[in-house]
Amino acid sequence: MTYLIAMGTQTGLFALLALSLNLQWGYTGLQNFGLVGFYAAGAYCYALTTTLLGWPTAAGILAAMAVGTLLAYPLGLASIRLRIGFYLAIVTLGFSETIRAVLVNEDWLTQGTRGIAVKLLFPGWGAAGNQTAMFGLILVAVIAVYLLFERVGQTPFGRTIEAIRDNEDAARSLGKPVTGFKIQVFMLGSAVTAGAGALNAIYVGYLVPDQFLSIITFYVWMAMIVGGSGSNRGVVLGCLVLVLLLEGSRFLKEVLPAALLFSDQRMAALRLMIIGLGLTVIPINWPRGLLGRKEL
Amino acid sequence: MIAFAQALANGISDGALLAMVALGITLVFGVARFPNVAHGEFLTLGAYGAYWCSSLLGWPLLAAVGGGIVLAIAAGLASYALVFRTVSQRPVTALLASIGLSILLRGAITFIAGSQQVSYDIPLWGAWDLAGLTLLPLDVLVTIASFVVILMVHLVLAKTPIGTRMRAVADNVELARTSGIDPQRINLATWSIALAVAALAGMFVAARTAISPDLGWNLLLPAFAAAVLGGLGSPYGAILAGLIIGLAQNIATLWISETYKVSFSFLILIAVLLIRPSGITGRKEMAR
Repeated sequence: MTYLIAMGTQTGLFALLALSLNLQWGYTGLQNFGLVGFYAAGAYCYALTTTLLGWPTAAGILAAMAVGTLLAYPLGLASIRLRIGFYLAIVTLGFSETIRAVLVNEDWLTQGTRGIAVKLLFPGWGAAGNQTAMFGLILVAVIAVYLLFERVGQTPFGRTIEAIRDNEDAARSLGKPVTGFKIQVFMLGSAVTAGAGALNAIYVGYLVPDQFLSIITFYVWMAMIVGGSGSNRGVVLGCLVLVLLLEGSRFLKEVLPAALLFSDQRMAALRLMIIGLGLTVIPINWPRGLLGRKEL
Repeated sequence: MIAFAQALANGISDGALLAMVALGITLVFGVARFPNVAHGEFLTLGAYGAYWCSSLLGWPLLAAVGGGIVLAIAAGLASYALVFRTVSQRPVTALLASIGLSILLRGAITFIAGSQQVSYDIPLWGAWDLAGLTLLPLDVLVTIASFVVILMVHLVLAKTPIGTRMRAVADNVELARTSGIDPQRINLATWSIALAVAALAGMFVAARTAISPDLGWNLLLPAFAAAVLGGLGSPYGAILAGLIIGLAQNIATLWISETYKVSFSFLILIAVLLIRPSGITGRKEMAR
């Protein structure tokens, strides 16, 4: 049971990230490859405001979301106004590596590689109680974000961003402020990503910079593409597939006889290879994913 | 003053290597129209290829260098044939596939070679001391070799018929096709040159430091920054920008921590995009 709750929580955290990415890429066509940078910024912002400044949980989460939004603005301004989408891809990738460098180096603030402890949600409830509470909280967050983004998709704003994705010039010729819309979407998605980072901080209870490697970003891309970019239902399903895949290798270890197994290091490398192969092959041969509405 | 001269010397060494990596990225961008995230892994493959040839097979130096180049070109052309050629009309899919390929190759290298660092069996030379300036003979040698490689690429691009055709295809595929150039063959030639330069850059980096599965990935970001600063698709821009970023990173370490080197190139990237997105030599229509 605790295992199922842990898996559910993991899926929920990935789902929050994948929903943000789907808003940015699936709806709007923004190539965000620095998702984990916003996730890390949110997590550390929560940890610092709640431990150093003693802020309450809700204030910490809001602060994390505010930081995500504020970080997204200059990045979006620098790259989104340019016509080539790749600039955002390169800039965000660089951003996430830079955030990690800051987390490692500024140890007067972040405790560097020693890591920083985060308070439990309900200190009186014990580990199991807190796990269940976190599962509930993250589930509520996923449902709220899901409904919000579904709703956004049906508003004039949502129809405009999809028009921008499908034909930017046409949207521009109709007088839509294309760049402004895109930057707003980038900021909204980053706010949710950073909020997910805060929830992750509470759930994990201890933050070190190496939890925020770029591979997390690529996991989320993989989940979104498998599920089907453009479909919120699809990407949540994709996250379930991703978690099953990641956990499956752990499961294999317990079932298979030792002689058939590789060392832990090789298993990790094998997992990387599977994710890499998926990211290479699926977008080419199967661009709609399970429930996707759009071609890549 | 000595510290500044030292940063300058280190900057030229780093810059020449960055120029080689950025040159490969920009050459591929010129013909394939996407930033190849897997480019770094071809550096790593070149470095490991030479290591395997020399340490495991006992090949002499030049043969091992050749072995590293062949391995990188073989892997690169295989990925071109299997992956990138099929998505030539869909640049975003190509970008995603290149990220997937980058992860796949890094996983495969780690699976085969393990994640611990190894290094070439190079005899240790004492450092030269020039009026307080410390120069490692190996660094000097590698830097000279980097400039020789860059010069050779320049000669191919500027003086040979195939180089002229490569520039024509990068400039305008349709126009090149109507002048009777076969873009497919030129693509292969361009990829091969980019891959060979990547493999050599990987070996040079490995000779100066060590070999690990992350070797190429760690250089990718500064190289991307250099490619953008030079104007994506512009080979001479990439060379110049690589040198500039190498120098800037090392001069910056006089004030900031060494570990922020890569982040500094990110700041340069943002500044370039804000101020002059077409890069120092780039064409306006690339950015708008």
